[in-house]
Amino acid sequence: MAWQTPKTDWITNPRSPMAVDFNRIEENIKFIKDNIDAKKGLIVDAINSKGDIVTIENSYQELANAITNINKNPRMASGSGQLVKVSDASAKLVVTGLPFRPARIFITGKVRTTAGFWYDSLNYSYLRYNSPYEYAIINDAVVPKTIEDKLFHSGPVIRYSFSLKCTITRNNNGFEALISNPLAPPTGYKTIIDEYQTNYWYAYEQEG
Amino acid sequence: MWETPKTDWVDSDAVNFEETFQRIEANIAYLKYLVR
Repeated sequence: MAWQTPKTDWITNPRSPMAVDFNRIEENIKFIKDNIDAKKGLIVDAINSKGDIVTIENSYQELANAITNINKNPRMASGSGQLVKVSDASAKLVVTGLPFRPARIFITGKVRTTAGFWYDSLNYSYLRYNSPYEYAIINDAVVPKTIEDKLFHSGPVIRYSFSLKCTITRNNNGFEALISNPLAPPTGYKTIIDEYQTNYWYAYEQEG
Repeated sequence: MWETPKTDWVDSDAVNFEETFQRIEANIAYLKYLVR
């Protein structure tokens, strides 16, 4: 029902009120009520998407307070999960079902991964040396950035410095953390990540 | 408390002040409450 211009000239144009006047007055009252329900309702629904906090009967000040409170108290979730193999040299942790879009994410875990390749001159081929990598992922960065390891072989000690890379993709109800080894193997050989151990993760909603 | 506005007035309807004006004014008061 559309808004009808109120008659505001009762003093200069007096007459007995008629049905059209009562209909206009009551329809305009209904028009305002419908608009409040629709527009204030948008704010109420947006706030309640973070949890049932307010109703249409809360004052605008109370709605503002609820928004402020939400901004000061981001939600968090935590859990554990296993990596899923994506390729020989990469695996991902998939987390779904969160009631919010994660902003800050922390992960801890451990894998075995390729530290490097060394040339076996007796067999004329490369041998792969794998080493454990215990990591934390803090604000999308792998910590420690590199791991040092030594291979004691018949010849001189071979020293390796190797690393992992993590790319996190966020969505509205979770995230995917792709962990990969950026080491390029010699032609015909593979860099691997395997022996996944349980990953523990913590996710925080955007603050403010 | 919101009361459904009467929007089917005809000229032959009697205006009952205790009902009609009470409803109109109570609804206006409720609108004021909603926008506080």
